[in-house]
Amino acid sequence: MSSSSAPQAKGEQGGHDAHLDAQPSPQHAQLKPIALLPGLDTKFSTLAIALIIIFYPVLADNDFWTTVLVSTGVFAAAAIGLNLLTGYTGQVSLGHAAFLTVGSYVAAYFGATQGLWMIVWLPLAGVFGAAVGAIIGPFALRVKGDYLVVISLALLFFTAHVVRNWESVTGGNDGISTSGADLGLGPLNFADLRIFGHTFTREEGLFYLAWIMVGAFALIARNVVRSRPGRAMQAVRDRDTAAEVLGVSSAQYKIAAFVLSSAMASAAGAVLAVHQRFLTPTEPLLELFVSIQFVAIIVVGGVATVYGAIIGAFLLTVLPETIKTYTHWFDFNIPIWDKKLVSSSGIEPGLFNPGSFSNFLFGLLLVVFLLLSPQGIAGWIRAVKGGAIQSFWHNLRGHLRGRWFQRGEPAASRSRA
Amino acid sequence: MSSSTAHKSSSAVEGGPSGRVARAAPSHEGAASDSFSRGGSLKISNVSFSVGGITILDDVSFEVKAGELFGIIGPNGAGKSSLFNCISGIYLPTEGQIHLSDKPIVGRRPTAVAKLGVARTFQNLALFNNLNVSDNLMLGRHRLMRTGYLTAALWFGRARREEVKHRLECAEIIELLGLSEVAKLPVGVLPYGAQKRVELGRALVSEPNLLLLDEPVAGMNDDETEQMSNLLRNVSQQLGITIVLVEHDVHMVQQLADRVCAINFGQVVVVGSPAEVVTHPTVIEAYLGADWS
Repeated sequence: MSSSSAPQAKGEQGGHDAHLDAQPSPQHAQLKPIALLPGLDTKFSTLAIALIIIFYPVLADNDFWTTVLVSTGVFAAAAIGLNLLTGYTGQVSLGHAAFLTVGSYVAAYFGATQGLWMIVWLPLAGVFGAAVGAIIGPFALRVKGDYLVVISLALLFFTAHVVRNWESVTGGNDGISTSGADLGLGPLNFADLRIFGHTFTREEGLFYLAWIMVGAFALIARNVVRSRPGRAMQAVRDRDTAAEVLGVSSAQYKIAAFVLSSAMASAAGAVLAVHQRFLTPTEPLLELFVSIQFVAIIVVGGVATVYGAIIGAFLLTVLPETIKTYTHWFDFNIPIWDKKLVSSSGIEPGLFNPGSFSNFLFGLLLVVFLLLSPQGIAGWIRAVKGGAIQSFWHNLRGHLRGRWFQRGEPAASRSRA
Repeated sequence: MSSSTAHKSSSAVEGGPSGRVARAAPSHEGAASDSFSRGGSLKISNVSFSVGGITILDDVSFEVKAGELFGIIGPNGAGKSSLFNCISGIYLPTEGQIHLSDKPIVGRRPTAVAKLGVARTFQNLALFNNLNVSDNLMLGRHRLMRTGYLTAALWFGRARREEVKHRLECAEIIELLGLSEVAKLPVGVLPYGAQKRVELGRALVSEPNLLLLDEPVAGMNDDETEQMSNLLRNVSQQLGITIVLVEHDVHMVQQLADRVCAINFGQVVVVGSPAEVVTHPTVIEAYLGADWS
């Protein structure tokens, strides 16, 4: 107990205490709610990234990268949802791709087959996702950790089975077209967007749609985690018994996290479906790999951060495409067992082709992050903000002067854990 | 504080305190004091608890009056913490009934017991290590807040208003406990003594009728113990909260408690004034030792 508490307690007995009466004083940071974007640097970088996203389709007339960035947006939106579930509530799920699939087929059925407006089928995708999440959520009350992972995995196979066999809705193995789905929102039509005389392609329109969704989900997620339900979710993750004793119902918040996360995933899946134009049960979305990819996104980006999901989604969608596109530039002419490391043409013998090489790098990235940087890129950002770079130069300067460390405490040790 | 009056009425609506107002402070006094001025009474009737054939608690009965500071002493494994777990709904007693201000609480889930105004600390700290001190305390106020997912997602309006209001309340307790300097740090990095205070603060901000403290000064030095004693005395006298205290520091219990209960092998040995209890032959034999003075 620090020295300050005892005199204050006595002050209370005395009936008046100038110090306590002076409360609240604005210099106490803990009095303010957590800001949406804490700090000027966060505000500026968010603004900068938002401007880049807004002007990207105008400035870069590249359909290929626009297409990739639509997937990035969809994955980021879904990963924000998964981070609420896994990062903030501690429920690891490998069934996230199943929720995207649910949303995809809602878009296909209600959007393309029934021809409803986007303002109907997109929220409907969220509602269906929420409903499926509410069915799966209660399982998390009975099982934890690895067992929950296995159950969520079962959801993936179950969904695949339903998609193959419910032919009247999903088209069965023949698949279903989604290109007819309406993309209008009031005066805007994302399939044929015209703003200030500039005409955008369908891909560019979907780019905006996907990233508007990312912005909306990021805002919702950030608002939730900085207020009562978000704290409760984190309490359930860290110590559910202690949370219960405080009146936080762990059952309620676990199920709610499933509902919210699957609603987001499902809405993202609906946009993905329209983006792909055609859905089949053999599409990679229902492969286990995609679900693992979502876990990888939040691990690489940073568990229990909202922006981490966006950074992770960017890296893990853009990186493979970059590797595939530019492999022939570098040629990777490193001979291993009389083979090249990567054969770009497929004619000369190689250990990898560009596709498998990007998968290899993806796996490597995941392992390296899990082992060396479990806090992901968000952890790097925190370290830099906490003064890691200053302390690096500080220590280097000291080293050059013949001392390993300065007498003073290096700034890094003051950084937040 | 004008904001506190709203709480008082809201907690009364919840059906929490019906015990008498005990030693309540005048309302204009210290900043935190008027927000919770009632203690609840606790009645343990013939509570038994056994796990796998082992009897942990055997026909335990005692009563704690509203506003009382009640100590429980006893050797390790006597069943003190199990009794706390029975009260807070973590364990379900095999037999017996527990009443908080005449409301039966056996069979209620921990969340329901918390809503009645029972707050507690744990013997081996149960803090949310990744969250900072402020947020840990805000979780103590969870039951007093109403923001749900929808209002939280919108933020402007109720969510923001509630955050501002309740952070203000938490800041007072943070100040009182001398934690202002570290309010923004994750509690996991704080030293043990500070963590103990955070846990007490988290229990205090929830405006409890009954406060269960499981070894609040374990591992503290004499100075810290003294300060904690003063604090608990103030909490008890100024705020009138009923406190049940499990502690091995018998000197501290002796000075602090109105009445003491000694437990051994899950059974109540004696309930009485501190002086009566520490001179009881069975207590000396089983717990204190012959050379205890």
